[in-house]
Amino acid sequence: MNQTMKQWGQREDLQVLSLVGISKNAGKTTFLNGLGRAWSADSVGVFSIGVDGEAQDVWSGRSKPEVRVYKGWIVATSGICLQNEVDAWEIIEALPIDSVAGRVYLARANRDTSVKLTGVPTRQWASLCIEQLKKCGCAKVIVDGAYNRKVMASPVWSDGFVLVVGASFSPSLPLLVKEVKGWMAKLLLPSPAGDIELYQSFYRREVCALQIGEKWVSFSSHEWIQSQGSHISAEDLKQATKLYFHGALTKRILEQLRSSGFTGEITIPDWTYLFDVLVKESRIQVLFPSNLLAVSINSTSPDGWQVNPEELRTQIQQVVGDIPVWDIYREEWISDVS
Amino acid sequence: MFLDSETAEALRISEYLKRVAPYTPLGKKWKGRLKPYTPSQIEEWELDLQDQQEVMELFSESRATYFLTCCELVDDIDFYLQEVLQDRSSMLTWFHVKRFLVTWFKWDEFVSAESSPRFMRMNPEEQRKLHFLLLLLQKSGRFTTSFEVSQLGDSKWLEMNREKNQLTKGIQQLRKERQKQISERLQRNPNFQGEWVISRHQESAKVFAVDPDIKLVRETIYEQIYELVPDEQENVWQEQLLSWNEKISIHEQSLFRQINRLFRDHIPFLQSLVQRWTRLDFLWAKCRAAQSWNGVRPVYLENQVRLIEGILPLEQESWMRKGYEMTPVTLEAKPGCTLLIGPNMGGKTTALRVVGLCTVLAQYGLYVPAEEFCFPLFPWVRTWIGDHQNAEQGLSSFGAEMNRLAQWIDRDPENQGFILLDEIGRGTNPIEGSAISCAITRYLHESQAWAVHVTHFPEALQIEGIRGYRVRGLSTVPKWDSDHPNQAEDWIRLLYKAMDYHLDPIEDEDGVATQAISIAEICGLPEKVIKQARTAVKQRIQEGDYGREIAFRSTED
Repeated sequence: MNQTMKQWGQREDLQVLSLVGISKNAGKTTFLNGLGRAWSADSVGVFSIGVDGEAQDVWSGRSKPEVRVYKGWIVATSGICLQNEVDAWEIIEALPIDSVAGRVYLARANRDTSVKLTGVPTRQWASLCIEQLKKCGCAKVIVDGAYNRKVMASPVWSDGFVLVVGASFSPSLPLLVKEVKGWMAKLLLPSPAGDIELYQSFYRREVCALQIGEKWVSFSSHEWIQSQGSHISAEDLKQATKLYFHGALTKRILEQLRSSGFTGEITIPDWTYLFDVLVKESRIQVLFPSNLLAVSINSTSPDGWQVNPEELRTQIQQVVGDIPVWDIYREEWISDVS
Repeated sequence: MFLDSETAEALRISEYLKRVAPYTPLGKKWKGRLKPYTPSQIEEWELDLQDQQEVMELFSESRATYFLTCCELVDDIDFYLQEVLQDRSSMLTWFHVKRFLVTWFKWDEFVSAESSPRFMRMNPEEQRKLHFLLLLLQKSGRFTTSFEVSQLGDSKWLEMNREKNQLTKGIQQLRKERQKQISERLQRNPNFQGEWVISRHQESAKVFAVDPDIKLVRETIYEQIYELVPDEQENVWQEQLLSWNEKISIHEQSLFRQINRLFRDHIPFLQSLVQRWTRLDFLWAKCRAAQSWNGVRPVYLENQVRLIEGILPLEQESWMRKGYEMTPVTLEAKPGCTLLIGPNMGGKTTALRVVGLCTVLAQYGLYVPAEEFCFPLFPWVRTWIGDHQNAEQGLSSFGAEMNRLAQWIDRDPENQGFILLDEIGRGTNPIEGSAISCAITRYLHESQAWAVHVTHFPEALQIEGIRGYRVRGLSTVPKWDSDHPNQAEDWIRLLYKAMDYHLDPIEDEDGVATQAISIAEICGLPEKVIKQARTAVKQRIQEGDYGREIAFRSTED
């Protein structure tokens, strides 16, 4: 495991790595700390997204785990989180970002230390954080995700992501495995066989488009939502063979399409545009395939229950195929590698 | 009140003022205090305009870009200076204060190469003070905008930290070595956190349970988690580390208090720097607004309003997108009423707006959208432009008009403002409307009030000594072609091409323009209606309703 993590550290095409949990308290920060151990000598930037980054988790009331950072790493977090160990930090920059715990700063660690990361609440600000961290010389940026906010794991924003599966989702192993199956179904959606450049142009223009016969008719996802699809004639929808949908594809929209008689294939930008959708037999494709690097499992829930760790690993591995499955808490750490 | 809301709205003042966009939070706050100069503030007004001129002359593209970069580093520094004053400073306080000082330092270096206005740079004494304060926050090296405690250069703190870091390293090394020994002995490595996680049903679980160098810290139904038991050496070092952490924390607080004391004596100097930066930000914001409408510096002139080639920039931008260009307005006004006459859609109201806009912008200390503008600074400006029915007050257009006029024209004669009127009296029957309009014009003219009045009523031209301007009007009348596919849509274009919007001074023999029927024809009224209207006019002329003094100009004659 830490050998692979080290290799990630050397990949130039892997600059931004996101962590996505299938539930709250899945174990993202624990995984981050493990990854950090492997990347301790590298120039790394790290921040958290979401609005739950304050000292206490607003959802569960628990104390949030601190993130272990190493000398030379740069964090983006609220100023209040940097005040505890004044000697540990060099304040580099004040960002025009307000988290729930106040203004966000970039700070470089003068020594190995721990810090709480307060959430950067919007995608635009997260993008700014990545840009600023890179500008400060970070070769790698780790984005510690928040519950159910998967947008930063989109291949548009990050070069790779790790899915963190924690027992906090459910004390039932079958339910946990079923949930992961649902995730994997989205993550393993195929890409279109043709029309790639055309779809990319739709993507750049941020429009939806319907292929009817030889021609493409474009419209915005907003128009679809406003009119519930009625701005396109039923006849056209029946005849249409392909749809590029540049917007959140929800169960409702899918139902509207089906009930209108559309049976063609649907292409969306990437898996993060899917919401509450069962993808099985739905002919959904993604323009940008997912870049899932690994699955991290955590058999323990902060609420006190645990699923069988060996069973969890075995069953999750069966679901995810070739993708590495790591139980970072149980893996032996080989010191020579780190 | 200099402007009322109706006047501000008619002249779209808020849209123009939006273009005054300072970069810094303090600059934006300063903009909130933007208000027009009064007639007693001529000197301050001139100084403001002069400063803007100097800034515009000196802000080359590179300077402007660098200034923007610096402004991005200037926060609401006032807030942090208050923390210093109240002895509540923290690491973040000094980060912001230092960043502000370094920004000034670098800006001063940047502009000092060439001669710059006094407000843009520091004198030698100020430079020394700034340098001194910066050295308090960063003892050595090239000044950076970052801040860390080590930059204070306190030898005691540095020494304490060295000791602490050595101890930390020592503990880490000791633990690493012991972990390695235990791992070899128990044939299992710990996890990344240095804990051994052992499955309950593993054989080795029994061995782990009895090893003296590790202890059980947690267990579940599936596994047990062990961690290293600190040995005596580690315990000693951990205690020392705790002690060092405490001492360092106390010393840091003392250091911040010391810095705070030293800085407090220089707060007035720092606040003056803040004010100067804010002012520069605000001035440059005014300059950028002026540049956006190619503004010219207004000039004080006591007894005249002189406008040469003024425009309405917002309307011009909008028209240009449609392929039209605005004819600039040139006119002069003196105490007394100045008339504006001309055909419908001849741009008279636009001309009125141009005068109003230039006056108001100039009085706010801004450059104006004209080739030249001179004026005397007014205590107030009021306009009556457009339809102002006020249903809430139960006022029709006419009622609202009379209501507002009553508030303006009976004011203190020592406190004459500038009144811009658009077709007073049109909202009622023509006989009384004309009478009221003429009476108001006469009143304003004879009382030497400052006023410009757009009117269609010919009687106003009979007032002795009245001055004004006439829109040249239609030179030819485009013919309505009902078969033309886009006639209705193109009537504006036709009118625009045919109309000469230039203003000429009214001559004695001038009459009001009579091109209304022609314009109605261009707008597409049915031929039958146009014919009837022309017949009615001819009849009234024959019946003598219009005297010789009112010289009609009909382009069809």
